[in-house]
Amino acid sequence: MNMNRITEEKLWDLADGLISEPEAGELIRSISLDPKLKQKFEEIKAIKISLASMELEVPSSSFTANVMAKWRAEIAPQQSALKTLVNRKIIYGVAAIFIVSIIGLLFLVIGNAPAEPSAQYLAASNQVQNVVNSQVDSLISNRNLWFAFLIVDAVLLLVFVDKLLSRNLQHKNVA
Amino acid sequence: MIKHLSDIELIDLALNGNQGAYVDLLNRHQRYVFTLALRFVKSREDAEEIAQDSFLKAFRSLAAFQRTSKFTTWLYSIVYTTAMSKLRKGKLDTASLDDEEHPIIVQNASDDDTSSAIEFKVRGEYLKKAIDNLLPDDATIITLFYLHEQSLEEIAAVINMPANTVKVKLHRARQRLRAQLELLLKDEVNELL
Repeated sequence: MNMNRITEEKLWDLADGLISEPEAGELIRSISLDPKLKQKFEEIKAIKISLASMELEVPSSSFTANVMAKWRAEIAPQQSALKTLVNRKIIYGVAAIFIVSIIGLLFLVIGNAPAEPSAQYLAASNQVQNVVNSQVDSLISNRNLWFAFLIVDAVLLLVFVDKLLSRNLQHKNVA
Repeated sequence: MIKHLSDIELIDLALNGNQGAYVDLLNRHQRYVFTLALRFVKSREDAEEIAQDSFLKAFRSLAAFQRTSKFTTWLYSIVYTTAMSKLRKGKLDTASLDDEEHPIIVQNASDDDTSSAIEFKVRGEYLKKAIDNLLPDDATIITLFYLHEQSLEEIAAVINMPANTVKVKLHRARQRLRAQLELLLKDEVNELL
């Protein structure tokens, strides 16, 4: 290989591994025969090693926390929107099933109902009415039942107030 | 456990809502991203802003990441475009990206004193100073190729240029780096005298 044609670019390419065989072998042989080229090549290799071993810059210690805080703030509304969307879908689905069932049952009952109630039906209806009335009277007069009902209401009210207060507190913290 | 996972595995976890995976990706690449950002701006605050914006952009479009290239190549391309748009928006010295306005001033190759000085005195601090004095494009290519060990093809993907152009730019960047080193070392010799 003509040594005069070995440019600095070639030497860099050789040091960087950008020249493949057999050209690389020929270049190495030429370099070993020329002290000036050899010195130049050694110099390039030294710069290359220094470049590769340069220390990376370090951002501030709060960098990760800052990026993650911004990222969480970005994804929070998306996540709650997604949650609302899923909940609404479930709610609408359940509501649709109920509405369809009720309308279906209504049509079934109306379709199968006789035009005029029979005497047997009226007698049975009165009997059922009497039983229901007696049961309702006994429930209204039962004090223990009323007490339990009020206790459950009070517990539900306390749970609701607790949730409301904690939600307000959370909103204040975010603000 | 999560620290031993590959970038792709971490991305999968992150996309499934694992916040720890995001933190791990961030910790793994923040020094490289910050170093690259510093090649465009001199202030550490500005570089940190570029790095921060780059990570947020990457997280936002993580699902769109085509796994045909390395994650780092994709991430560095985001850093590059973020930094370039910030430079342009801030009306900073964008003209300095033009090679013709910054001719290569290489000392005579037979200047043995300087050459031997470079050979023996190349230190990280000189290189850092020399890289700081380079144009953003040159500094980026040098950093990506030598410090981040990206191939010419990967750098081409980062800066959106053909690989052959990158090779030419790398050659010019090396020459400018050498010129900067020579200037710095000569200044030092003059100071000693």
